[in-house]
Amino acid sequence: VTRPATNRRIVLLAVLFVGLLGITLVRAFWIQVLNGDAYAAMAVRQHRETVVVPAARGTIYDRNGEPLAIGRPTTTVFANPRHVERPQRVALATAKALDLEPGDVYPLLVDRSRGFVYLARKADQLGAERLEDLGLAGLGFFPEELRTYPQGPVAAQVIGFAGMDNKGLEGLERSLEKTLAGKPGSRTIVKDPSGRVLDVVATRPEAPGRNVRLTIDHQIQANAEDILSETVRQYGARAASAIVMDPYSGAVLAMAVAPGFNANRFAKTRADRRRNRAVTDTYEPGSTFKLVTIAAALEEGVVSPGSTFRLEPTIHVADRVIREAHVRGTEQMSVRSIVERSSNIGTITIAQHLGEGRLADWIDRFGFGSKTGIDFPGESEGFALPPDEWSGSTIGTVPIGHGIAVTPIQMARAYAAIANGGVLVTPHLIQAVDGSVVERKRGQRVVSRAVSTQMLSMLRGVVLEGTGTEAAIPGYTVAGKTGTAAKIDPETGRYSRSRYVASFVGMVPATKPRLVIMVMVDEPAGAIYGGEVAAPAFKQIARFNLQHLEVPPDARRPAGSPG
Amino acid sequence: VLLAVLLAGVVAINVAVLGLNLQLDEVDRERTELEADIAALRSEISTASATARIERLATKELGLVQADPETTVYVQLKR
Repeated sequence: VTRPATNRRIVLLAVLFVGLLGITLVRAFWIQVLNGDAYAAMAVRQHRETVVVPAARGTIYDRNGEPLAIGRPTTTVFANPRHVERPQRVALATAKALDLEPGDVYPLLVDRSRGFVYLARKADQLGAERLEDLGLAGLGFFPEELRTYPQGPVAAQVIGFAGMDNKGLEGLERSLEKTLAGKPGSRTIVKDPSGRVLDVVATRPEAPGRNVRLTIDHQIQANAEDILSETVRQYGARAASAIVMDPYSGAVLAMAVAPGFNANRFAKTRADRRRNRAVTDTYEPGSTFKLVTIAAALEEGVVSPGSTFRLEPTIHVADRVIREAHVRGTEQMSVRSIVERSSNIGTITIAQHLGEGRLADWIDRFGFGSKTGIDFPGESEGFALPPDEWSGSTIGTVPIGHGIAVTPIQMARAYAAIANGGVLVTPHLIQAVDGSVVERKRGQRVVSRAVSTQMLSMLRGVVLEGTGTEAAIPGYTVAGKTGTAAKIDPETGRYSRSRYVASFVGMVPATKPRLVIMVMVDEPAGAIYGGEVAAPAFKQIARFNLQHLEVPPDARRPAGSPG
Repeated sequence: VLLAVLLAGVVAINVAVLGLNLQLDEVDRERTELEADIAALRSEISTASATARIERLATKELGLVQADPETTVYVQLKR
């Protein structure tokens, strides 16, 4: 090889290297200078991760601070089957850590048609952590809160429940969604290839939901639920509800419905069992409604407790003949006796003296036909016929609680007005939010103190020697009223001869009522009367409550008896 | 030499920041775990102290009976 040829080759090689170096430099300039920012951002994005930090849902407490609904942190485990490398190993590890069946997990992992599958929603945090530490490809984890109800079935219809996405679906969980939910936060972090955090780029703190304290006393509630369940079982009834209320403030200490359900297993419960019947359902009250007719007549000065009437065994109103529940002859009866013996004919006679217009007005004043304003979703207004739609026979039905539909909470409120001296209060379930007591409007006077005292005295007679003797509690004075109403037969559209609603509304101690207790039993079998079916349940609920609230006896005991 | 010292200083600071970030992440993780533990324990306490459960244990396992309200004696204290 000659020297010039060798030099030419060296020059060519040098040019080639210089060219390659130039291309490399141009490329480097292109990447680092001209597109440097874009590539840097891309690199950060590849290692950057924004983690949502869920906000803890507020806790619901009873009036004594006992948690009724709380949140529990859990971890949801998911997979991208397309990124799972060894499905069998991953399935075994997942099943072991999360206490699942490998046979259930494996098919999810091998289904590569999907890019996202849940392996376990709201799984145990420690198990999920152990699984995450294995660093298996294709698995993902994120925190979620599980709503639990530590008292199980206690007040389940009142509290309601939150669904899988932690949003309230029914009851107070639903109506208080904005208060309880809070706002989730986020953390944007930069990780190294092994997943370790290098830097926290941005943080938005989570705002936890607010805690709510109810007026419910979980022990009074649990006891009322037990007694109602036993009553439903004993009489083969369709359902029953009970309300325990402070007549002065309108605070509801218990709102029980039987049959009940466990809020932790709400998905497996029929919708009709989840309904809070004490607020959403209406019924014809029967004789418990006589309170409105008599109080109205007393307030209007139409009668006094001592006024007497000569009452025939039946009464004709328009085209109807109305009888007493128990057959009797013609009798002279005082207003007091009419209340104590729950006389239909006596009450209708008084209503006729009062007149349709005034009675309709008093029904409205006692709050029937409109919502009580209780802080619970889905309250029913009930139904009260407008005065211009009354027929000739309405004055024979409405005064004794037929042809009118009320909710148990409306009825409890009306009796609370008599118990507290004549003021119609707003029933409520929410006492405080994050420690701040919820302000309430003052109640509205509906009857005078004198009339409420007269009514209380007459209602004491119902329990002492009238239709409600089964409600009597040794050591305490009790006032109340029984109610028995036939239901409309859906097939015939007429009053049924086999389906009834038995109820009792009472106040204890009658000398200065601390509690109004309403018990309603839907379609009891065998016994049908309020005095037989509902009054004993009232008695049991009241006895427990008086002891629990340490209310001393107010009735004189026979000499030599204990206490 | 000065440049080398400066570069070494920058590297040392970055390593320290990285170390602190790792510690911060670890502490944050611990905080989350502790919060989860607290919530789980609160849940367990609430479930364990549920009235219905205690009543069931008291009556079925210990043979206790509920106090009769009529046997309760109230003492009126003079003010």
